[in-house]
Amino acid sequence: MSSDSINSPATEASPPWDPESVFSHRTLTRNQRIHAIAITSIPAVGTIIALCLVPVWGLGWLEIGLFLGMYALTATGMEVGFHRLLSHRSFRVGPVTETVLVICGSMFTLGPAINWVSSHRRHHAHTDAHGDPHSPHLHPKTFTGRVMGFIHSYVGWIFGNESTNSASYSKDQLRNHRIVRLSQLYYYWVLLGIALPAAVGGMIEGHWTGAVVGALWGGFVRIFVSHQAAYSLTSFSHLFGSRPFKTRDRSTNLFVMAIPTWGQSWHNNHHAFPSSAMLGLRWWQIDPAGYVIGVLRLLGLAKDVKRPSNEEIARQIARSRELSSARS
Amino acid sequence: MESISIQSSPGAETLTAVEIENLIVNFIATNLEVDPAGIETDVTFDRLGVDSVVAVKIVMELETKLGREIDPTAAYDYPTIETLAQYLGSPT
Ligand SMILES: [Zn+2]
Ligand SMILES: [Zn+2]
Repeated sequence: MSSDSINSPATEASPPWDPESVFSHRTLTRNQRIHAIAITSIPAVGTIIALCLVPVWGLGWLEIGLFLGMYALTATGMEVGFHRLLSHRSFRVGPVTETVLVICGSMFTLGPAINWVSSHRRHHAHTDAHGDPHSPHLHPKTFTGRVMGFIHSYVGWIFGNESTNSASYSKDQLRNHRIVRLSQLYYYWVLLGIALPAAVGGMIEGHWTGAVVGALWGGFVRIFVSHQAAYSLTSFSHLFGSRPFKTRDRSTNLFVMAIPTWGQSWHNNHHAFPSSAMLGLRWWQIDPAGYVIGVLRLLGLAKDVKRPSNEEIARQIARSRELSSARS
Repeated sequence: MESISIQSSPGAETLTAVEIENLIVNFIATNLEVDPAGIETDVTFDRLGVDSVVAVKIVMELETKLGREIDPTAAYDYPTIETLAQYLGSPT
């Protein structure tokens, strides 16, 4: 694994606030709200229907298999594709691999690639400070303020009226015509994320009920559950857990969410080394997306996989210890 | 390219299609940090790195420069710099 030098943001100052980077426009606000309502309500209704059908059709390997298969596929698209590849450029791939990853990430149903990358980069530029799109720490320090802050960071922020300017945060991706096109076709990929498990389920069962099971468990239930994992990253991962690295923000490592978030809940590691392709920095820090990148590298599909050297990690840990002992 | 003389005035401004073309080209070049000479006016916006968010930013920019309201769907209905500028420009 090549260990390209990686800068830790722990020592970097937050970039100056660019008033052009966030704005509000009635058309974009309306479209974002329709999207937010759709992606929260439709999968929830689908999940209720799926649960109601369990006493009738049972809960067998077809349901579980399509759910887990689609979960792994779309979590890989989101975490390997949208996050570690497009947002942080922590490794390089060819256009075909990139396209497949972006399509799978779009099936995750949290918005088009460029929009996701822009708001995520804004989160890194202003973590837990003014300008962070989803910090739980920007509300008043009262009981109601804390509750509101939590709701905002969990899911509330997606209903907001702000738009992140992609020209401020994603110039590199906008210059890539393929990524712009893939982003524009977002709703087709969302439909594919439901049609694909439906087709597989229908073929396995040889009956229409298999297609319904596929759409419900591989589509709606999968979207509903994977979204809860994604919401935990913007909320829990800045509230509860350990902080081996004393980064400027309040990011944490949270073991219990490692598998559902595909490794992103090693979130303190991530904020300490944002351009690392590996978020699990210890052998026991389960990092499914990191393993996928490792396999892509072995297959010759991923190159220049960045990871901080052990010395760099040790240096940051030592620095963090000094900081916390100086404080106490 | 740099020599267009347009002041953002609150009042209604009439610009020719060519002036509006230059305005859009400069906006894209500045915001995406690309060479304005490489921006073709007869290709669709997505080829120039204009996604739905940047399209709205262009419309907002044109609204201030022209001093009138523009339907935000204009960039979809007229998906190239040339056609959009023709639609918005005053007849010469
Ligand atoms: Zn974070
Ligand atoms: Zn990140």
